[in-house]
Amino acid sequence: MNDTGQDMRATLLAGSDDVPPGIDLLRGVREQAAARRRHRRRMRVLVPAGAVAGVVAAVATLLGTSVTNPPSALAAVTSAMVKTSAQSYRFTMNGSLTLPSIRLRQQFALTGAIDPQHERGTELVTGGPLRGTHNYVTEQLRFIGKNLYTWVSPASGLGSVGKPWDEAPIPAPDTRASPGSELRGNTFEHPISPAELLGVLRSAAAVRYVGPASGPGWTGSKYAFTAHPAGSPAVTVAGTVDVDQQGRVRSLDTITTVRTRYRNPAQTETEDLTFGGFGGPVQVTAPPASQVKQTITPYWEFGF
Amino acid sequence: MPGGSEELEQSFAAFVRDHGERHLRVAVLLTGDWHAAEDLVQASLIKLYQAWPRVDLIDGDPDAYLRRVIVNTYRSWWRARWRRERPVAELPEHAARDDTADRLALALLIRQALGELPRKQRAVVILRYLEDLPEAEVASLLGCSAGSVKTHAHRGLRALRAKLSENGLPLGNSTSRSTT
Repeated sequence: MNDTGQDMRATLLAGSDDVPPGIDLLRGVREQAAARRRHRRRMRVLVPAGAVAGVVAAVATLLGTSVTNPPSALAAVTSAMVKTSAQSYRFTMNGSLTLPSIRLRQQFALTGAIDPQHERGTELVTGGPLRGTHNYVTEQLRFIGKNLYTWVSPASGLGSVGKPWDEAPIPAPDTRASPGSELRGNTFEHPISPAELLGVLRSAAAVRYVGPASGPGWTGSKYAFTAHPAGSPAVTVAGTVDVDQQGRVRSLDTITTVRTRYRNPAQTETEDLTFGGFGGPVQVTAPPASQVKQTITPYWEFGF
Repeated sequence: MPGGSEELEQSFAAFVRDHGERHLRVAVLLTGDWHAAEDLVQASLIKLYQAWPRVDLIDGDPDAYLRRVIVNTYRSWWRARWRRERPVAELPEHAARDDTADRLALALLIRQALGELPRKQRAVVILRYLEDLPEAEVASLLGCSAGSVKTHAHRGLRALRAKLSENGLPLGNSTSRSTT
């Protein structure tokens, strides 16, 4: 390959250099293998005990799971959230917001890396379509110390005028009491963290162990929960949490629904988070000072 | 190829462990986003898994077989318009710093530029330069002539260079750190 080819190869490698955590290439194969085995078992009237053990062992090989039942679901989940939030991690999030009353359905995707210990983090957000323009918006956030730097794609029609970056102090953590804002929403100006859900879990009506969970390079347990934040029956946060055997959150899927007297649901927000890359370096630098405008509050809206 | 069921599964898992990420990279450059790429590789791996015990079907080269399945599946997706590609907005001016934020933004920027190429041109560029396949093999995979591959590669390279330059990214300069 000549120099141009090498340059192109380097560029293409850089274009695929942000492999998100939680990619599980064998999931489809495992599911198909398990379905085949279930089918075979149904077809057999009498199966020798040794063969059953073999099947279980083979499924376990593919699934890579254990079948332990943790003693306290709530303790395991809250402990995992605290532990995960104390070290660096990478994450991806896919979500949607649906407001039937105004026929709004927006999708958003986030990818990022956070190092809470050194107060560094970055998030890349794409979402849309925006109301009116139907554009998609890209935002880049850089958390450095107590400051948040925000860049919003100019084509979205959002963001600041003049310098491309806003700099603002990260607001003090609030009570996360507003409906549907536990993970993202109104807390967008804070780094994504599984600990965001701790407040909800404290009010959880139920956290229960569901069964084994696994992903690429890890095995663990799946838990499910349902909660009504701030004691409001109109707001329901339901979801599942996968915790690996090292006690770290690997995935966190939630559906938040808001009911009103007239509509049920009046608002639905889904958020599927995947965590990985624990303890890895997170290097984030501030944009050049000449490109930064100081503001009082960070820009975070999506233009809903 | 091992004969027992458990051995087959282990050898298949080992193959995915060793080769999966490379195919995933090809898939994300073809599709533009990681979730579609994961779907594409998963779907292709299921086909490979079904063929795994029959070594004659995969010609003793599961890597090439998987590549062909990925490309064919991708082509069938785009023909069926099953997967809608999401438009992506532009990114901030790249400062070519070696930090996490820039790396994430740079990857998205390159995929965005690739996504603006016609699909066949994009596939040619990826197979020719990332996979380093000869023109004849790319032509066989995409069902076109070697001359057509040559043309697509030339035009794709020129177009990608222009699109990256618009964003202050000379080809292979500020991006070359990822090869290490």
